[in-house]
Amino acid sequence: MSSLRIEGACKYFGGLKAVDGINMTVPAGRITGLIGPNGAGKSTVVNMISGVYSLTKGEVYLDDQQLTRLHVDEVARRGIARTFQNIRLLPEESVLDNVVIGYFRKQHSGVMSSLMGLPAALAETRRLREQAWELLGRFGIQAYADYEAGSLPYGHQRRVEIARSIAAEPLVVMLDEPVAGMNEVESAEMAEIFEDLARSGMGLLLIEHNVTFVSRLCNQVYVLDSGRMIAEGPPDAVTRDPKVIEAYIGGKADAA
Amino acid sequence: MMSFYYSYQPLIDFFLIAVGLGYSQQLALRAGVFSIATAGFSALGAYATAILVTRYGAPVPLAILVSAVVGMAVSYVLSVPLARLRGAFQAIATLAFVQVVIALLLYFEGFTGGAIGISGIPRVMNTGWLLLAVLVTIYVIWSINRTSVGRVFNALRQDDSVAASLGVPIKSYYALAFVLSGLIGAVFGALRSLYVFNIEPVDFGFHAMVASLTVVVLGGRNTLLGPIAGALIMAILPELARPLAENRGILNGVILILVITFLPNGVGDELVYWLRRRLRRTPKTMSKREEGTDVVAAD
Ligand SMILES: Nc1ncnc2c1ncn2[C@@H]1O[C@H](COP(=O)(O)OP(=O)(O)O)[C@@H](O)[C@H]1O
Ligand SMILES: [Mg+2]
Repeated sequence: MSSLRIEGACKYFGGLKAVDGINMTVPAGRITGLIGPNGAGKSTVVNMISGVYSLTKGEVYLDDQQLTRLHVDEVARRGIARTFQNIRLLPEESVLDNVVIGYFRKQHSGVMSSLMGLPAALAETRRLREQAWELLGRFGIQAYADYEAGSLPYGHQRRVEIARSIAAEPLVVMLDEPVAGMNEVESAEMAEIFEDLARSGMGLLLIEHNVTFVSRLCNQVYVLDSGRMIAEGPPDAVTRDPKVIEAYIGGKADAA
Repeated sequence: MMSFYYSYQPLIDFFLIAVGLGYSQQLALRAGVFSIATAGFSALGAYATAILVTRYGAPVPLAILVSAVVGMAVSYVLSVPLARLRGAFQAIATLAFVQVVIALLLYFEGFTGGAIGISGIPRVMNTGWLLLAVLVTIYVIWSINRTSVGRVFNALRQDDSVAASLGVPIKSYYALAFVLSGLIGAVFGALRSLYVFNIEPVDFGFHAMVASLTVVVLGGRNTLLGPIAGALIMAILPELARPLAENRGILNGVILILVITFLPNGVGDELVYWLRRRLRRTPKTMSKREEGTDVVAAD
């Protein structure tokens, strides 16, 4: 059972303290919430953990391994996956192929075997396509498998991206506003998938605006405001916290 | 058929060389490396083979092998600074590389023959060998397209930060694409030198650079059909334009503009995409989809 931790993490952009000395733990088999008003620094946290941004101060650990100074691809290969707040699919690729690329980390056949078109490499591609097909089924988007990913409606693109991020069965996945732009029914479908993933032992970091959605799914919620962690704990306690209420009402009133 | 072959043999042979160099150019572009270094690699390959064969009496297969190694080594070294650049800057850097190669060919006159180049190269290439080389190249790229490396190259072209976020060591794969481009470019340069009797630096200058780029722009930068279609147009066009004599260049330009405007993906790619869309209309079952994949979608 692995857990992801950040300790005393800071990210400054010039004078702007986007993230300022926060601690957070994302344990395996749980859905951990990270909420906060727009511009609080939530996406910055994801980018710090995944190696897109270097930390100004602080450390990132996966159990006792340090991830702090690893490159993006190395962090991913350690089993930390993510989605992007502004969906990033491969626009020319089919929906199915967008998911197939997600298995990269789990591939066994080497470069030479690929260049020579050896049976092992071809068989692996066939197998991954079948697995990706199954995964599309789980996300209810098999019917779109052959469509260009860029041509799908927004909500479906999110599903493709989430499917891609969990394809290689990461230890931890960080979902940056995964149900933004989805309706109630669609969000509920996603919630079910997230709970399944947690039951299978994956650690999820769920970043959301929608406090109700987070409260329903998480045991532990962190609240970020202007780069500082203003509250943490079980959702019902956190949502009653005066500092949290003030941050939401005082900031943009986009909390549902 | 045979009489067609005999009357058009040189045309066919140059077509095959153009296809090979087109693949070298295409491989870089399809992996998101804006390289125009193919002309430089083919110069290195051509000179390595020509020098080894004419000066040292090296056996032809060995000479080609050395050209291949030179192409890979130089492209690997070049891939390191190139990985720090993007888009137009990569194009400029690779353009500079081609200019440097040509300057060196002119400078080391004792070794390279300077502006006069190297003559008396045995003509051991023929349609059969060139075809074999093209087929091997096609097989390798076809294999790439159907496996992991092809998926990574496509991802690099479309969004390399996505590739990185999925664990792809992107610098290594950029280098791989560039080294394969260098390998193919150098080998087809070597084959060309074993066909044309003599080579000189101008053969690999601006004109050669534009030629291999045009093959990909006309044909397409993603599918296997691309360079074939592009080289075919480039080979047929001068024949059709024969009555126009000195206005041939204008016709080339007009066709290029028309293709870029109306078929921005290139003739070959557009054809493959069109076929794929037709296949997609068939009922969607897993098995149907797999069939479609094997035929065209694997490009
Ligand atoms: N690359 C960057 N350069 C400069 N400022 C940034 C950068 N990324 C984020 N910020 C700033 O950091 C703050 C937090 O942003 P972000 O993490 O995107 O917030 P959230 O995801 O919580 O809405 C914002 O003020 C934003 O403008
Ligand atoms: Mg954000």
